[in-house]
This record gives sequence, structure tokens and C-alpha cells, in this order.
Amino acid sequence: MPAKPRKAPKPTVLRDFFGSLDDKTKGLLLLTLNLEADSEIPPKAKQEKLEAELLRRVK
Amino acid sequence: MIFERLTLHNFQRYGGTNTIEFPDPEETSLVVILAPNNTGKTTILRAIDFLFYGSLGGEGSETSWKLVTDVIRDETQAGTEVKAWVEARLKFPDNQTLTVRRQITARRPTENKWMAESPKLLWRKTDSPNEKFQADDGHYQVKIDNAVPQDLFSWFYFQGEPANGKMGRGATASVLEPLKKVLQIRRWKDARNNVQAVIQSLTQQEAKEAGANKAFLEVRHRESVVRKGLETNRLDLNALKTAESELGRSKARLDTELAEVSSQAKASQELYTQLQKHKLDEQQAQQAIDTADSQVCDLVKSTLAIPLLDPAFGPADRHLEDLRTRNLLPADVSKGFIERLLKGEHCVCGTCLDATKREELTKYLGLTLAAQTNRDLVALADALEGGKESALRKKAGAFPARLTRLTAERGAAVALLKRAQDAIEGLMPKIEKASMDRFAELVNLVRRAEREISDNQRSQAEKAESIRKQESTLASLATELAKARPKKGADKMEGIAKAIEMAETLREKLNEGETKFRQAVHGILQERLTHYFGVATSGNTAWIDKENFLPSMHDRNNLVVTNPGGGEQQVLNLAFVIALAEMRTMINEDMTSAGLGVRLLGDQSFVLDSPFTSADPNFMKAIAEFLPGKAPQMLLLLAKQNWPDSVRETLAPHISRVYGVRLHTPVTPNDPESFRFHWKGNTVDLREPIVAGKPSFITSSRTLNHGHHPPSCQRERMSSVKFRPLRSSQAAQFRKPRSIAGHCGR
Repeated sequence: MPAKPRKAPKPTVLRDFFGSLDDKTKGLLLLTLNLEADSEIPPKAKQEKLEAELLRRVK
Repeated sequence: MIFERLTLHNFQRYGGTNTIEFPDPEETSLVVILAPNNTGKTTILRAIDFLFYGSLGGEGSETSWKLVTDVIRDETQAGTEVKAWVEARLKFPDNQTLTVRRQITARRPTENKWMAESPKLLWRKTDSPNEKFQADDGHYQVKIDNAVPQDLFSWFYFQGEPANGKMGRGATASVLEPLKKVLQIRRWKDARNNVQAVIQSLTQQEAKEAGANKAFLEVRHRESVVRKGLETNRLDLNALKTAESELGRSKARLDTELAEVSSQAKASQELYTQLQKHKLDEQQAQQAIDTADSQVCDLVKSTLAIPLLDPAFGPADRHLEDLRTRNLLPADVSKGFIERLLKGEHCVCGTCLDATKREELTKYLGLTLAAQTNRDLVALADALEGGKESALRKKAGAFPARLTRLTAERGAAVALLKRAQDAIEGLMPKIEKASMDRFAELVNLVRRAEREISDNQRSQAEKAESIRKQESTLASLATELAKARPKKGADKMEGIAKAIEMAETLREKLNEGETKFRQAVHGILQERLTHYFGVATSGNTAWIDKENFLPSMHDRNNLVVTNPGGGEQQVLNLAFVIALAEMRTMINEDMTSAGLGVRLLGDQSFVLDSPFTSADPNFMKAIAEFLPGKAPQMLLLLAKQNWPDSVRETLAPHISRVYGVRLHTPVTPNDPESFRFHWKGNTVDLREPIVAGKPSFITSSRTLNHGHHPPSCQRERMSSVKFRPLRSSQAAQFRKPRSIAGHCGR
């Protein structure tokens, strides 16, 4: 029988890390990281967006 | 990204249309292309490179017409054009299936001039000829780039050894940078920088709000300093924990080996005891043999003459009696004494030796015996007279029995000696294997690891205490800060302060997350490499360097193997390439499931050109055993030297399709055998002779058979492969294969 690719157990390092955070921190962390993935937004706009989000959340 | 089909049309050596159909990766994974040397194996890699990224192999876009097959260009009339392309039906990670084609249009305005436009990427959703190709606006180029980043191309589609054989020797080919790009490791740092900029901005806003309130600003400054120290300490603590964990793993490995060597050492001790016993046996046996030999000698010496002398006893007795009668025995004077007297003037009594006396002495001299003979005869006479004759006779009678006993004792001793020597010979290799030196070395290494772990834990305790104090300081500073906060605009300032605090937490978590992410990337790659490398070799272990993420081999003493064998190095290379692809997909899945926006990566196909390069026959077989099942899709490009019986027999059960690359040439090769390939009991000659004087070669491909179809279908497939004329005017001179798509119900 032709050999099939062996599937290794899936790593969950990041999922576990984010899962260990409280919702507020997790949400902000994902927002921050996902902002960086968008190469079309200039750095200044990224900073303003994060700052506004932080101030909005502490109200 | 998985191939369903790959077609080369008039591309470099592949004149006409040449198609490789890939099986469903859910069913089988291995496709083999057999090609004589210098017939275009590497061209297939170049074709994929050209298709994916428009790589022109050193040509500029204006000279891209050079990629069109020579003989096809030669046939092109001035004032006309000819097209060449590489086309593939691809399945992307998002399950979209698309036909993409990179095409060159070469124009020949005059006999001696060629022109070409920049090669274009075209696409169509279906594989139907009825659907027209559309020019890509960049969308599908990005999609290809995302699925197989150009930086990683040579890692998945490689020639012989990846990175020109430099991989694993730390020379040129760092995989870290392309990996960082693919895994977007930089986004963590960029995110941290962004958060830092936000903290600065918020701190400035807060200072502006605080105005002249020096007390508040002073507390805020102190708090900022403490927080920075806290962050540094937390990072240090994380690093210490990581180091502790690595030390623990290292110690666990040492413990395992120590337990193994220890049990070997214990066994060795037992073996050594056995050895001592056998050596004692050996010594005793040798002594017993020596004693028996000595006794036999004595026995022979003391008794052997008896039987021989026995018949002489009677005459000897009579002779002795005669000697005694003549008063010659026992003789108290010897022949020498008489001779000395005759040489002098006087006798021993002082009288003069006259002629008469001299005559008597001369007569007496004739009766004297040599001193030794005289003694022997006296002894014999004594024996005969003293009745010892019977004792000697008795001794002679016991001789055979004693000799038999001594011979038996000697035989037993010889047998014991042989057993002891055989046992020693058998024990020595076992004793050498259970090295006591390694045992002692391991004990020292484990002790050192324990000290390092202990030091690490002490440092961790110190850091933890420092962090506890800093957190306490921050808590009191927060109270001070709240007190010092001006009344005017207090709500706004409080909001800013909370936002700063949240941003600080964010920065800290970004640090922690990035550390874990980096460790995960390394850990997965290490685990996968160990898994795959362990299949094919023993003794040496494979490790991923933390600096450049390249693999290396370590020996049993954990030293880097600087000059590994070519075969073992190749197994390491292949294991790494496959581990790399797998790790990339796994991390991608983890990032997606964590909620990080990433481009989806799917299973990876591999095209391996001559993966058995540098391998001796044993490693060729080892690599052949290693490859099947390691990737969802694998295309092997093999020359005759890569297709020995051992490789063919090992790969055969896993191969779904075999293609042959046929060389059309008027030249008779020096080694016709190199064109003949064996497969499924058939021999296929991949050289197609053509008439001399025509352009020298053109390469085409054909299916040799289809491994998983019944024999009748195989025959049909073999016979169905026909070559039609390339140009009707040159019928049978240059041929190209009919497209093989759709055969056997595929």
C-alpha cells in the first residue's frame, strides 16, 4: 500500500497562549498584531487606531 | 499548494507539449520521472520557477525568446511568431483550483532577429480549452507568492542537495530570514514598537494634563522607571525558565544515556568478573600442561632406557665381573691420571719410572676407562649388585600407565585452556562496548547539569523576589499617583493612566507571546526533524541550530559532526526540507486557530532532483525507504545512476506513476545502457534515434506505466503512447508525445 503522510499532533502554543489571557487583553493583543499584518495602513494610523481603542476601552 | 497537472510547451528542451499528470494526493503521493543524464530533469525545476515567479534563468525579458526550444525556433518562419509556456493546474490552500500559465511570445521579424515581450501570467478557472485565459492583474501572482514564497522555493523544489550542498555546514544558506518572513515574526516586534509609541503619546498627553503638577509627574517618572525594570526582570525570568527547561531536557537525555551506560557498566563489571575467572582458568590450565609435560619428560628420562637396557643386563653383569676380577673396578685411577704419570719421570711413590714400570703402566692405560664411563658403570654395577634391577624393572612396567595418566591430565588442561581463551575472546568486545570511560564522563556531565540547574533556580528565585518587590512598589506608586493627580481633569487623566497601564500590559504580553512563538517554531522544527531523521539513521542525532535554524548532526558525545558522509547528510537535508514544510503549515494552523490573521498555508508538493546524489548504495536504499509518505505530493527526477535495483524495488510499492524523458538525437551515445531503464519487468530505451544532419536533440516525455492499474490497462497505456509528427513536412524527424491526460479513466 502506498505510504500516507504521517500527520503529527497539531501544536497549539499560540492558541494556548491567547487562551490563557483575559478577554480584554486577548482582544487588544489580537488587534495590535492584526494591525501589523495589514501593510496598507501607515504606521502613524496604526498608532492612532490602537491609542483610540485603548482610551475607548478604559472609559 | 498541490499540482494536479504540469505542462511544458516548447519550453527549453521540451519541444511540443509535455504533460505530467499527478495523482490525487489523497490516494498516492509519489511520481517518478526517469531521464537519462542531460535530458532536462533540471529544466522541470526551472519551468516551475518560471511559472511561479517569471524567473528567466539569467535572461532578460527582451531575450526571453531564448527559452523557446531551439529546434522550434529554427522552424519558425521569418515574420511569424511562436509561443512557449509552462502551465499547471494548481490546488491552493483555500481549496481553489486554478489553471495558471506563464507564456512567452517570441517573434521573428527577420531571419536573424528575435524579439519577445515580457512573459505574462495567465489564468482560467477551469481546465477546459473552451475557457479563454485571462491576464493576471497581480491577484494570482500574490496568491502563488503566498503559497510558496520565492525565498523558500529552493527548499521545496531542490536540485540534488538544497542550497548547493551548503546546508547544514553553516556556510551560506540561512533559512531563518525567509522563515521569519513567512511566519511573520516581525509583526510581534512591530506591534511592540507601536505599543511603545502609544505609551509615549499617552504619557505626553498625561503630562500636558498634569501641567505644573510636579509631584504627579515625579511619581509617574518613578513608576515608569520601576515598570521598565520590572519588564526586564520578567524577560530575564522567562529566559531563565526557558534555559532551565532546556537544561532539564539535556539532563534527561544524559540521564537516559547514563542509565543505559550504567546498566552496561554493571554488565561490564559482571563480564569483568567472568574474565578474571577465565584468566585464572587459563593460567591454571597452562600450569597443568607444563607440569604434565615436565612429568612426561621425567618419566621418559627415568624409565625409557630400562626396556632397552634390559637385554644387556646379562652381558653387562659378566663384563663387570671380569673388570672386578682384574681389579679394575671400581677404578680409582683414570686414564688421564695414568697419562699424566707417563709424561713424568717418577711414580707417585717417588721411585723412578723405569722402562718396566712404564710398560706396565701403558698396559694398564689400555684397561682404564673415561671418568664418566667409569662412574656410569659403577652405578650400573651398584644397581645390579644392590638388587635395584628389580626396582627399575618395576618402574619400567608402570611406565605405560603413568604415561597414559599424564597424557589424560595434559589433554584436560589443553581443553580447559581453549575454553578459557575462547571465553576471554568472546568477552572482550562486550567489555569494550560497555565503556567505563563513558560512564565516568556521563556522571560528570550529569553533575555539571545539576549544578547549572541549581544555579538557574537560585537566579530564578532572586528574579522572582525582585519582581515581587517591584510589583509592590508599583502598587504603592499607583496609590501615590492617584493622590498626586490634580483635581482638575482628574477623570480624563485617570483614563489616560489606565490606558497607559493597559498598554504596558500589552507590551509585556507581546514579549511573552513572541518568546513562546519563537520557541514553538524551533521546537516543532526540532521535533519533526528528529522524527524524520531518526527513521533513516542511527548513532548521530539531528539538531536545529537556534541561530540560523539550519540542521546539523551531533555524535554520541553531543559534538557536531563536521564531516558527515554524503548519504547521511542527504538524509538530513531531505528530513529538514520536509520538516520545514510541515512546521510551516502547522504554525500557520496554530496562528489561524489563535485568531491571528494570516494567509492560509496548505500542504506542500516537493520536486526533488536526484535526491540520491552523494549517497552510497546503503544510503540510497535508506533514502528510498525514507521518502514515501513524507509529503502529500512528491515528484522525483531520477537519472539511471539513481535508479538501481535497490531503489526501484524499495520505491515501487509507493509509486503511482512513472514518466520517461526521451531524448531524440542522431548521436549514438558512448554508453547506450544509460538510456535503458527497467520498470515492472520491462526495459525502456529512452533514446530516440533521428537522422543525422538534423538539429541535434529535442526532449519529450512519455508515460512508462501506471502503477496502480491492472496489467491490461498498463499494456493499453504503454501501447497508447504514440508520438505524432512535430511538423508534417518533417514527419518522423522530430516527434513529440501526445498529451497523456485522460488516460486510464483519469
